[in-house]
Amino acid sequence: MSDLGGFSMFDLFREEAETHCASLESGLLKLEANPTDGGVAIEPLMRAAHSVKGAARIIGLDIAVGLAHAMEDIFVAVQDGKEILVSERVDQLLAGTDLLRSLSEIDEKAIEGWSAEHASKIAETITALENSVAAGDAGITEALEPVPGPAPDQAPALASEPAPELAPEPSASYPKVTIEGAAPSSKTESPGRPATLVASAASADLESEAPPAQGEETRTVRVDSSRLERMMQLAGEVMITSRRFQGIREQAAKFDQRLEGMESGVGSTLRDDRDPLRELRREIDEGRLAVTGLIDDLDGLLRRTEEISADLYGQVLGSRMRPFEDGGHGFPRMIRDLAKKLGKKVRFEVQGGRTRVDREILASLEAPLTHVLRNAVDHGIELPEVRRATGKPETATLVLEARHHAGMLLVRVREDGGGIDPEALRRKVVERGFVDATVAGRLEGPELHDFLFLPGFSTAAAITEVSGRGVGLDVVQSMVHEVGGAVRVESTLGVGTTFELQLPVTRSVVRAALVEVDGEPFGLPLARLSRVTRVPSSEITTVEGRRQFQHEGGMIGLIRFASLLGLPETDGDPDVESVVVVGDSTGRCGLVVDRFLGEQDLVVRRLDPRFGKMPHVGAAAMLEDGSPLFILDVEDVLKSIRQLLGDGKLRGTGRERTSNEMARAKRVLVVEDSITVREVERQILSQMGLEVETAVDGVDGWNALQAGQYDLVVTDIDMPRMNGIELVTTLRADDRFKTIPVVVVSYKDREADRLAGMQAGADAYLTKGSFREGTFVTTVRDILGIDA
Amino acid sequence: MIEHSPLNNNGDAADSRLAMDRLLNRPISSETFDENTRLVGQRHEEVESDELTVLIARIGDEWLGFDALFAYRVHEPAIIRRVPHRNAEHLAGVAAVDGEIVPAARLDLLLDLVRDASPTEPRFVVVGPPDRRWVIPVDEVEGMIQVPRATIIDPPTTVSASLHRHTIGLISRDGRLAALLDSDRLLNLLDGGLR
Repeated sequence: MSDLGGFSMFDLFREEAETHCASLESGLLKLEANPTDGGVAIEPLMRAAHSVKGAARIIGLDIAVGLAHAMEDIFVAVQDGKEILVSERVDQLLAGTDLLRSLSEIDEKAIEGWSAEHASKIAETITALENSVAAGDAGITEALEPVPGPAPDQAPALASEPAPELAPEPSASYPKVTIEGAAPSSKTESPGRPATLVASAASADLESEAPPAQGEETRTVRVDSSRLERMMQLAGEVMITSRRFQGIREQAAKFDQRLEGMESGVGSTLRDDRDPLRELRREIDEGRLAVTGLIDDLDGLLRRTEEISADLYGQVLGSRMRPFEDGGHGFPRMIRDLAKKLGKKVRFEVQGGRTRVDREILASLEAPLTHVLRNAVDHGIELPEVRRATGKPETATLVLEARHHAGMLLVRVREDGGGIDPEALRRKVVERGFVDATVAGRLEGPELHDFLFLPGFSTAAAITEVSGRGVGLDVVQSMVHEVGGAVRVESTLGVGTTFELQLPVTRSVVRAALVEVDGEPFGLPLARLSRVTRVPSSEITTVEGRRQFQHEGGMIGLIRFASLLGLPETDGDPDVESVVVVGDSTGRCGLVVDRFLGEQDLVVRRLDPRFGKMPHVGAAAMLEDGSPLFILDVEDVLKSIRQLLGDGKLRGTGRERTSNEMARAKRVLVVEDSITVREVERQILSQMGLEVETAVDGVDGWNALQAGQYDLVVTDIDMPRMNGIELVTTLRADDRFKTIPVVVVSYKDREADRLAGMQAGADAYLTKGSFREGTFVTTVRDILGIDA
Repeated sequence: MIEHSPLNNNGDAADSRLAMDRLLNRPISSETFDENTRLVGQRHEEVESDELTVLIARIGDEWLGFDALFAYRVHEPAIIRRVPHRNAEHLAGVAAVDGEIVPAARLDLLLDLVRDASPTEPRFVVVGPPDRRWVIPVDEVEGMIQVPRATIIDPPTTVSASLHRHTIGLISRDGRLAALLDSDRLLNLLDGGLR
């Protein structure tokens, strides 16, 4: 196949097919939900099918040409009013779209294999498309009924095609098309006539789907994200470099002052034509004139450059933002298919599709939202007969909503399903041993719902049956936490459930408090701080070697930030400590820094991947003077602190800290994401007389290892963020941990798993059955060389 | 390096045009003409492969040679920030060059050299491919030179052991020796200390 400037023709086809398949799918789903849209909505579908056909023909993919052609024929027939799109037909067209899309996802070399594999399926789809489908399918009529019959004379006004006599039903809907097409901006105000649920759904949907008005049509191009990142760097550099003009301007001003001095030195009293200094004076005059002119020019240039570079910077920054609706192309289809499979009726609506969202956030939202949406359809929304029995409309409403609020991006998934039963949830919480019955009885609303997000809790099958919620919600939470957001659930039994995801609008810019630690500036994202304060030494008390101070009615432990970061400690102000309070109501602590440097918006830079996972550091940034600094990951800092505090091993809380605490019992780090297994291991090891500290996943474990001395690591394999194999590999690659013994304890008991663990560098690989058999105890004893 | 004062830059435009005219219109000696002709004629012979372009820089008492394919550019010194939880001795920290944040190396420690207490013209030599950039602070950069490969001599064992380990040859220049550094080895060693 021929090449076109470095791209193979197939690459081009692939891109084109991908784009068109997306519009085919969304168009089909919209049409199915609102089949009366016929004339107008069919047009883009026809074009998409036609374009794919053309693209496939260019690269000689006859098999795809045939399929796209058959699809196009259907669209033409619908447009001509010869056919009405029924649910079955939509299924066929979607199947065709899927085939075309899968073709766009393969490698050029795999075409032949793909063709052979899918030939029969394609032929089948084409045949189905060529055959007629019985009109008047249930799905259609049901949707059609509620649409009030309009006055026919309004119809032809905006419809691109004359209302076909052959199909009375589609023509009946034209006025609605007219309304939407004519004034897309007015769709939020409901038209005066009685709008049905279905009709209003389509209107709301339009907000996200309405094509931009003529003239403001924008084209989208694909840009490599690394290129975008580099553009950001350069735009930032332009801004910093342009500030250097200022220095030149100042020098010019100084020179002007010198000339001024010379001028007065030469004196201006002598006016005689034969004055020997006359020529000199004239030259100084001219020089001054030239310099002032230069300064003016520079001033203008400076202003202009600053404007342009700031604008450039803003534009590049803005190019990272995409409309929210770009993120969930697959959602309508997924929900449709799932609802159909489960026999439920769901109307899915996207609100605020135009909300601008950072592309990185958008990408990281896809998985958690898929999860929450699936959950909503699967467990939240009831079957039609159940809904009818409780007096609800059979068709449930599922809304995905995005909007900006108070500098955050709010994403809500709202449904009018059965809701979560608080009693059942309380019972479960007690059953799992998280709290006792008295405490559980007092738990309400968000406090209670928070338990849904606990790992281990949510995976319990029983909870799914009881409340219909909770499969893997911990995963949703950890994903949202990773981008610096939070999740909340609100639910009323019998009325419905709302999941709310609070996310930063962008990960590109973060408002941060700048602090100095051992002479180095660090950025702490403001959103994660609860307070920045200066504490007089007189208010600091020392209890059991730990320093703490009274704050808002509670004691807050102090930790020297320098020692946490592995930097040498310097003596700050002996009388007053600068303290950054981090954490929430469940546990706060104060980080002692050398001083505060202020507050600033930082443009976030990815850390050089060569650094690997760096504890406590989230990203890098550049200050206005062009110097770099690190932005800290407060979540990660908190985790380390909790770990240290939790076991009373916090070192470096005060200046008077003692250093030899290692010559004691052997210390074991247990890295395990399951609470149950973690507890079992902790108890067994404690009973053996060992000191045990725990970490909840690989990253957590890795951080703990940086902070403390351990004689043994016991780790699980399957964990979020960093799995056991990665942890062991990372340990073995690091000089400090090359020799630390590692015991892997996993559910995975295949030989291949064992081998993978040992190859990564584990000293022993045990299955979880080893707790019962006692091999866990003996293995640990052997490794640590302790007597029974 | 020449100190550029704003005066030199912003001098009378007419003056600089005159100076440029003088430079461009100066009479050319026959030797220069012959030399130019020879150079132009030589281009086609592809003699470059016999020569190595080397950036010469100094740390303390030692002159070092960086393969110009490896040493990407020379940058003004910038602020270096230390990196938490990374203790490799040769990692000075990170610095921002050309809008990128890259690690900075203490080549002096790696090679057992003693840097000038207060270098008069310190520079950053930026080395490595785009995804493995480093900056190396040096006390002085002399410039690029062309070295016929044949004239690069094997390093005698008299140079410092650490320096010797990273040297692939010595370049003799005006009676001075510069140690030509082993780019790959150096880069691997530097990257190794980042995790």
